[in-house]
Amino acid sequence: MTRIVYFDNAATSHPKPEGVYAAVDRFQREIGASPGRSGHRLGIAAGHVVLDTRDRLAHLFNAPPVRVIFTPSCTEALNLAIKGLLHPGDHVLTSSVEHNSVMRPLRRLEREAVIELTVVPCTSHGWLDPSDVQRSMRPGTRLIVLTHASNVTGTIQPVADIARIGKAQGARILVDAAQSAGTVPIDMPRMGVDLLAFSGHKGLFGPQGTGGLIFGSDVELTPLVEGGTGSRSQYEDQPADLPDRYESGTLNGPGIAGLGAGIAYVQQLGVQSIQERLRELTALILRELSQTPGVTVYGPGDPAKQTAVVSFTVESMDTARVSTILDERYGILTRAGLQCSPSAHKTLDTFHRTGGTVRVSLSVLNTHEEVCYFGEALRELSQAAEGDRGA
Amino acid sequence: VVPDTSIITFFTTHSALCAEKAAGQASIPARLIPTPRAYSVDCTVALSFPSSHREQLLAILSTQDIEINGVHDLGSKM
Repeated sequence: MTRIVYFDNAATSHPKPEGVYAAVDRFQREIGASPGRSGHRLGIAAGHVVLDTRDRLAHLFNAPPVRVIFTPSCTEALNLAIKGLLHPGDHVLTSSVEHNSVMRPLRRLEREAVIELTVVPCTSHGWLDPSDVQRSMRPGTRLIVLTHASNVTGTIQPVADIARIGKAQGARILVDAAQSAGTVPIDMPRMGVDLLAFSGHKGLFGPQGTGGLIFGSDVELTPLVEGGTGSRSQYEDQPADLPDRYESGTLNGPGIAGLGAGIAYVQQLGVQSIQERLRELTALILRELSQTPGVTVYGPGDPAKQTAVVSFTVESMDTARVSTILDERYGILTRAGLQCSPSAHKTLDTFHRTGGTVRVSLSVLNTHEEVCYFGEALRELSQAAEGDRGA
Repeated sequence: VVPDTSIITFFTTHSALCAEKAAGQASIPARLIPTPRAYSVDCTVALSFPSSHREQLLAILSTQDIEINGVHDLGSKM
């Protein structure tokens, strides 16, 4: 069997801790019922599984459990926050390295003349300078949307500093924690974050189809989806009670069960320890890349300033070809192209020039040995490319 | 002799589950049951418990900010 080295954890983490598989299996096999609907023992057991995961998320991000809203993805959480909060005439600030899950809903609202949008340029390392945010604020700025860590370069943004600037002028702070939840410590009140969107299937080790939005008690959102909640069923209007107001339709019971087990694993290790371990692996990756001729690395190039996400290109080689060779010849799985973040690649000047980057993204379950194997593979590949260039 | 039973009704299942968990942590023998139609149709489940724990349980729920709809003494009907 071909060896598989999975370096695509920024898309979905894989493999998961054993407890995640067991929790999904147990939910499907022994519980299976709809959470929050029927009053029988399995319905109640399903409800408790959901409550346990909700409590864990609340603890992880320092928020009240009732304000943790489950969604099928971080993308939907961001859509709920953006479309539920903004009103005609609002001004919104965002960064130039946002994922399309932020950029597309904002661009649509801008195109439909609902909002005015300012995209604040980041540095060539993908970092947003708080003083640039300060300069772009207006009296009507209602929302700042910011990724906590770039999905292309791993760059960690100065969220707390930017939140202070925004709050001083009455703006709300929405943070896209898709890349940081579970790998970078997050304390919502301490960082000044009003709304936090997270994905469950990356650093929190849950299955795909899990994510959520957490927001403060002074934030009022219009629901994105309305429907059955298992509560106030006598009324045809959407209830105001949380979390039901934003959780119509049967929740993803097996997914949320697995997510709970994933968070339990993260909590057992501790986010701080995970971050330290990932910094070691990132330092090693950066060293391997720096020892490979013809390789250019994008982003901070500093483990203290980024997550374990590293983008690079190999001179005169198509990024898709690099990724394909790494997969087919070495079993190393990476992601090539624009990673759903065209604006980030324009910021890095990798949009037209190189057609994106090759991205490697690690989880705490990756090893030093895997990184060294990757380094050797890349050197072989680069030497072959150099030979081709010379021929 | 069947002890007198009371039920607490809720607006959401989330509150009901939180209440059951809180009761369990205080060793109060409470369990969720389908809400008797006579008392509420707001939420599918209600918390059933021995009436003797009524004040203790209500104090716990209040401390933990768990919102309730109503409290009903059912006598020994359940």
